[in-house]
Amino acid sequence: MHKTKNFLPTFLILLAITILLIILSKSGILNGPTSFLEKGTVPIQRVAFGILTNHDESSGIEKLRVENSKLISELVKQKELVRENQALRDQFQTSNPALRKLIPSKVIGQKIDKIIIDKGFDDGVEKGDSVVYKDNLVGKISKSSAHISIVDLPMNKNIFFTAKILDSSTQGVVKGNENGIILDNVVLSEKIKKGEIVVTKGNIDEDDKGFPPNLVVGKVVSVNKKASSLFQTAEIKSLVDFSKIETVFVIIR
Amino acid sequence: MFYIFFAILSIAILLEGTLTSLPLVFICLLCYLIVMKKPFVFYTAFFGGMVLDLFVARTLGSTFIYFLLFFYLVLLYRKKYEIDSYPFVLVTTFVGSYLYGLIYKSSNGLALAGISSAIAVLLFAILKLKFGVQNSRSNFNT
Repeated sequence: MHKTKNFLPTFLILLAITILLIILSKSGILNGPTSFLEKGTVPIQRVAFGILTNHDESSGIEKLRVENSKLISELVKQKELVRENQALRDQFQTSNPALRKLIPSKVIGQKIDKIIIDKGFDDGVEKGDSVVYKDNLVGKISKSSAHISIVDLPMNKNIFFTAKILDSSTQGVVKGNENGIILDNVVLSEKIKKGEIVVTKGNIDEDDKGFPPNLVVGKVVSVNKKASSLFQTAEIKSLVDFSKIETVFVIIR
Repeated sequence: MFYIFFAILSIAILLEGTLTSLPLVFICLLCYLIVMKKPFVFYTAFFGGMVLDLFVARTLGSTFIYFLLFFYLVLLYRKKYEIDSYPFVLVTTFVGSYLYGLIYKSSNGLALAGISSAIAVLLFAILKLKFGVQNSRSNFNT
């Protein structure tokens, strides 16, 4: 009966403590203690993820996948160089993009449409930063704490950005959904072929957040074109196997 | 009993913090609450929620506040109805997991809630078989 009487005050005390914690945490007062605690939890998380996933990058398929990804990256670079040369010839000068820095990060957690990396705002990673693997788009930072960050993968429903087909420069909007990555809003008059490479068009905002141009989003695997619709869509498959990725790079200014 | 539960909870925290979007910690705590009906579950939930927040970069306390409010509702329900039953565990976990998915923005919310319910029923059966429904009378009230 003693417990019966005491439960409600316990509930209210815990509720009050938690609300206070949330307020302090939101205001940034708890950044120091959180950072200290994360220093302890990140190694545990890293070890646990390593044990639970047991990645094997030495397999033949994985090697071929990496090689394929590398070749496509080189192809994108080459085509972009050709275009740049043309533009240089026309204009005799080119814009000077802001200097960017890549921060290597280990993947320490993996969900259906997001990954957790071991770098946070103490390392300069902020919400909205792009995450890449070689020249492939991995995603965008959606949340960041002192030592870890959450990366929304392209199949996450919160992700959408403008993209183009590498060869034809056909433009569309890439959206994530439960079925994967979709290139939407492509006008019917444009032709999309299976196997074509989709790259980011570039949508850096005034805060220098967003995706830089020419990151490989993936390969077109199917096209959905209906005469009655305003736009056509295409399903895209990323060249990166997100379930096997171990290291990614965050682009910061 | 507590050590076994603590081991299960630790595994659930590691799995939810690294690999899966399933609310495993919520499921463990809910089953433990229904089987044991001890206020200690709230303190365990506090600890579990905080560690989970650190693992998935949530605001400290945000996971626990959901656990606390949901478990409180479960205990309120207990005043009028029997909660030590499979249908109750099934429905409560489904609703709880679906809401959890909505609040913490997990995709495939319905599928995750369905799988969560199945896991909860299994865990509840194991806990009930192993330890029985304890303290059904001498516990706490809301």
